[in-house]
Amino acid sequence: MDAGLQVRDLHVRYTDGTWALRGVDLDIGAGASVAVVGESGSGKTSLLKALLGLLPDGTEITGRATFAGHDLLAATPPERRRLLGSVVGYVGQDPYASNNPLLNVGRNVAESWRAKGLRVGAERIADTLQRLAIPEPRRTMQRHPHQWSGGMLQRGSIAAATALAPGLLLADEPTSALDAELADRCLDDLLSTAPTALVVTHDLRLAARHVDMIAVCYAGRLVEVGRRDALLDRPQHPYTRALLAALPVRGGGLPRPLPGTPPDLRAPDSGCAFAARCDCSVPACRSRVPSLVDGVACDAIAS
Amino acid sequence: MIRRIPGGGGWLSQAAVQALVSLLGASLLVWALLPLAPGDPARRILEGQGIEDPTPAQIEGLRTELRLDRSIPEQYVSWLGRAVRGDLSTSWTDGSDVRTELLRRAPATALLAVTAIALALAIAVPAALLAARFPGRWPDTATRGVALLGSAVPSFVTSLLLLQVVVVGFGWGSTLTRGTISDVWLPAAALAFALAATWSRLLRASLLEALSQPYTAMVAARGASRTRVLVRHALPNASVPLLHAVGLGVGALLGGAAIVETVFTWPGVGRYVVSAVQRRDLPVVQGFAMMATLVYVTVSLSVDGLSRLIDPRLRAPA
Amino acid sequence: MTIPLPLVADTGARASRPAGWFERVVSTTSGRVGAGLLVVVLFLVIVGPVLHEHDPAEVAFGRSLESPSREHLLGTDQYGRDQVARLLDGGRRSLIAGGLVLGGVVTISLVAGLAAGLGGRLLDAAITRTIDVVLAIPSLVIALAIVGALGPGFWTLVVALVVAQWASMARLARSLVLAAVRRPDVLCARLAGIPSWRIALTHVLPGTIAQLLAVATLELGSVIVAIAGLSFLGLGVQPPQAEWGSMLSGARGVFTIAPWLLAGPTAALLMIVTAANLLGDSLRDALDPSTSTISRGTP
Ligand SMILES: Nc1ncnc2c1ncn2[C@@H]1O[C@H](COP(=O)(O)OP(=O)(O)OP(=O)(O)O)[C@@H](O)[C@H]1O
Ligand code: SF4
Ligand SMILES: [Mg+2]
Repeated sequence: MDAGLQVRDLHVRYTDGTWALRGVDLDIGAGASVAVVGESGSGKTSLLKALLGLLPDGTEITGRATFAGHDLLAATPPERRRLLGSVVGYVGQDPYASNNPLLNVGRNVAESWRAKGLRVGAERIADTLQRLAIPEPRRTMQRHPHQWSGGMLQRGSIAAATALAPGLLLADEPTSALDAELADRCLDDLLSTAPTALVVTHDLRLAARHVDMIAVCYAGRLVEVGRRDALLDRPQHPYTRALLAALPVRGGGLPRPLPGTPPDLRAPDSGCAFAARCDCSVPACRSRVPSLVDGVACDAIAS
Repeated sequence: MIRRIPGGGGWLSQAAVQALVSLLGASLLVWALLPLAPGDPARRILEGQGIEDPTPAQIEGLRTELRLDRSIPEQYVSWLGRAVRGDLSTSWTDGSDVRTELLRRAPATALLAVTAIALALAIAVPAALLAARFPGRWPDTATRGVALLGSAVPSFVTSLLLLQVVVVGFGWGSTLTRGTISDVWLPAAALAFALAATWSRLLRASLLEALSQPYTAMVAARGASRTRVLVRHALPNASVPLLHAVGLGVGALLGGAAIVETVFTWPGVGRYVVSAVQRRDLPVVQGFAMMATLVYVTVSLSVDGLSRLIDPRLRAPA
Repeated sequence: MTIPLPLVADTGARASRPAGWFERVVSTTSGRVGAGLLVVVLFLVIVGPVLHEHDPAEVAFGRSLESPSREHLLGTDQYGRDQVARLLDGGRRSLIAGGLVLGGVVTISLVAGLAAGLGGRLLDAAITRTIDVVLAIPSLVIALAIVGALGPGFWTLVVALVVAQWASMARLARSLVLAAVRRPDVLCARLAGIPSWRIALTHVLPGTIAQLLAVATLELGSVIVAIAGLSFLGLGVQPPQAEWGSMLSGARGVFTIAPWLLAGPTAALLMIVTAANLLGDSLRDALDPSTSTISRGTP
């Protein structure tokens, strides 16, 4: 039995017919951290929500996902509630939006226990906040979220998400609401509290400084997965290369934005989804959907 | 437990001053009906007291006493002075003291209004919770249908239908009410129907709004049940808009109760005022308008205060 | 050069929508049903009395309280008057009164809004204060008080409801004017030294009127209910003139023996208010995409 996260052939289809995920395979060894990058609408949030079981009612989900022997997709609602918080933790994007504005931060953190029917004292909450280096937690936790600074509140959210020491931490753009310096510190804190982590981010550069692996998402599929350095130094998939080319480089002039628009996610599969925007596409690309081989989903590269 | 509100005292005094200014302005408008209405107030008062043909001397005497012979601003100030001291003059029809008459009927109206609001909340909150728990499914569709009906049927129609079906049809209750607790249900239900309709839809919308916010997803991601997310997190956040709607509802009841009280012959302020309006008994109408405004302003003030207690962001210095 | 005006004034973050909201309203089911109901009611009330042969005021004691028949589809009342004729006649009166009330409300609001938005700080403060004061008195209480001072009747009813309802509309008008004043074209006109009254007429008025009229249409239901309510209490339209509320009031004494008298006016009120509510729902969504049921419906 593997202790890490395994995702197999995960499909997600919303009630309006949008295929947000079209077969995602992902393995994260226990203790590793992965950054999921990709442009807006590529399915990153849908992946996290599927693993958390928080997709809207009526969404079709197929495939398998297990973590440390727990089946994340087949879990019944009560089983899932037991997993959430204690086995799988979640950190959101905007710390102000992800805290209940009516409760003080202490009570927001306490929800990590109370949501599961556990009791918790002020001492325990303060200790949890203390772990993330929040100064004077006993006093500051009496204040409401809007009275906290963004960076501190996001650390508070991380403290809450990891309060019950979940083995897997899922984070959806946890730093996009913070400025660069804070973002670095927060991501550091987040990854140091989490054994295994899946972090969605827009910021490839930031991710590059912290994670072990990078997964590139395009139109509901992972098109390239690899160790951080290898992927950044020798990107193989045309989309990954385009993403890296679109990053601004000091002294490199204006970055080259990726031309074209993402495909229609409601349309049925017809060949490689990236074909319309791909520099290297050949006619065969439009008839066969490439599968992930050796960490790359591109027939032109594989052959 | 009394919670200390940071900066709360400052807000309260400021809001109280504003409320007083509103009351003062309202008093000017209400008083202005007197010079606008045809007829001589002094003569009407004397006639109301049973003096069929008041002599010019009697009229002059009363005019001097009420300062009706002074300039317009002086007339207002003296009227206001008496109103503030609780002297709302006497009825033009039977010479009775307006304040005494209004206060005598106030408890019945208060009982009716409070019951109606409690009943409406008791219907609206569970209905909205159900609708928000199953959006787009049958509990939602059903409450939406009933709510559409409820907000479309005027209270006098509801009252007549209730009388027709419940009293005449089933033989429960009676068409003549006496203003007691055992009688209050039918008129209160007539008033509550429309309120519950609006409130349930409003609360449902606010609940769904809260459920679309990241903080509810966050609580769910920590393992909270749907019910807990809905009741412990979404509901408190949705209660502030509902509170304001309840405040507006009180305003609507202050006028709207008159109709239902008339249909059910409920011995409250509303029915008294309707007959006063029919007889153009201005002091009664003015006294009622001032009393209703006082209640409404107080309720609005309390709604604002309660909202600040619930939502700490409202307490933040702007 | 003319700068095209957005039909709906730009209020803050909300994107301005050049026309199109009518189409948006009609494109929703509730908008279509609401508009359809309104057209049916208007048609019946305008054309109905011409086609219907009975005179609403024709008293026939011999045929009082007859139950519905071919001759009298909704039966007759205590005085033997045909209920269909009275329903149509009363509807016409209600709609005329409602139209007058809304016309008055929109006119006053426009004047108050323009004066507050363009007339300088002092005038704005005075008007805003007045609006606040009027809003501090429950509107039905204002209406009752005015009827109490002037005595019941058709015109008192119209005046009372205008005075009772103008304040909230004026508040809306003021905010629309203030938003319009911040538009670039209006700023340019001001800088170019064009007098305020001309700016008001050419740049601010058209968009504001359109928006106010749209909101006013939605108020038609509640105004007609207020008219019916006051008439029901004997404080509005006076007998023998027909009106839905006063018809119900007349039925009150005899409804145990003639329950059919409740049917017509009840159905009529229900139809017009439902029409206004449905139209209101879809218009709100059309004007403000952030509260649309589509985005609200997904949890
Ligand atoms: N509830 C929903 N119903 C229908 N379609 C949805 C829903 N949520 C997301 N989608 C669609 O699914 C696709 C993937 O969305 P998702 O939120 O997973 O993308 P993302 O990669 O997280 O994008 P972003 O970087 O903008 O957050 C998008 O096309 C989106 O429009
Ligand atoms: S499969 Fe073809 S179209 Fe797709 S990325 Fe590779 S080369 Fe481009
Ligand atoms: Mg996302």
